[in-house]
Amino acid sequence: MANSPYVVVGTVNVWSIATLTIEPGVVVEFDNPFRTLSVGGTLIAVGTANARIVFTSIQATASPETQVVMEPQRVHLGNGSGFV
Amino acid sequence: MRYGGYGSGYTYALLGVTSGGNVTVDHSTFSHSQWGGLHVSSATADVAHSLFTQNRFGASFYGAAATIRANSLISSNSEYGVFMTYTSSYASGPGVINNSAVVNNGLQGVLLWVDPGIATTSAPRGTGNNIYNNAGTRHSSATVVILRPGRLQVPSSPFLAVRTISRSGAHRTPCGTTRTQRVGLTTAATDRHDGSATRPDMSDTLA
Repeated sequence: MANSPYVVVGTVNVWSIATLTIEPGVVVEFDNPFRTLSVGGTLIAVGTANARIVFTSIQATASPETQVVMEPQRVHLGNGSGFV
Repeated sequence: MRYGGYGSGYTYALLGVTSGGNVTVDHSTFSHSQWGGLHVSSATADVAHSLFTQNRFGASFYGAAATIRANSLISSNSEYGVFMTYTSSYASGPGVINNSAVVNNGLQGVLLWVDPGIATTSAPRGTGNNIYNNAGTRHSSATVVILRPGRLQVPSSPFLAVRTISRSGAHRTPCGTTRTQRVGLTTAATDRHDGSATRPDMSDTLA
């Protein structure tokens, strides 16, 4: 959440052994039409009424100075939980 | 400009859940995809309290045990609201839309391509939904249906958008235009297609 928004700059895969948890309030932006977040493992995206999780175009909410780039297959989940 | 969800057709989305995948989504928003907001194929998904808006398609399920529920809203997508495709060989849990709203989409609110041979337990279903003001050309709105293999009931509502897939995979005409399709359909009686629809009784769609 602290580093949100996350910008997807390539197809990101959550492999079958991995679990990706997206925290409430996180914004996931896609930088162009050629991006997708592909889940073959587990994705938990549970927001709240006051902190929704948003998947959208970078055009909708872009704030370039605060973006964190999520490059394909380079986000490590830690603790042996796999890779994104 | 709409970004995200690369692909050719409804099989692509901002969030694509592929074979064996499992997603839990709550209080989330999917918007501005060139294709879909969510696509689930041979995987499972549970979506609650979520919004799909300003995509080309809101959500699509292909042979998936996927549920949209709990006051989710699929609104203002340029084409279909929800698109479900199920073949006869599919034997897992059904696609489900419960207690949600599908409104103001550019084509059908809910479009189903379902093989008539599908098992009853795996057939798409829904209950307690508000589905209105969708603007498909031939079937201008859609009502979530229960499919009953082995029976055909011509839908009472002209706003029911359903297509079936033959065993060879070829798409056939929408149900309601032929009596050769062995798929039964029921409609939500309170879908008035004028924005004033109220939630149908639970018994209405779970006959």
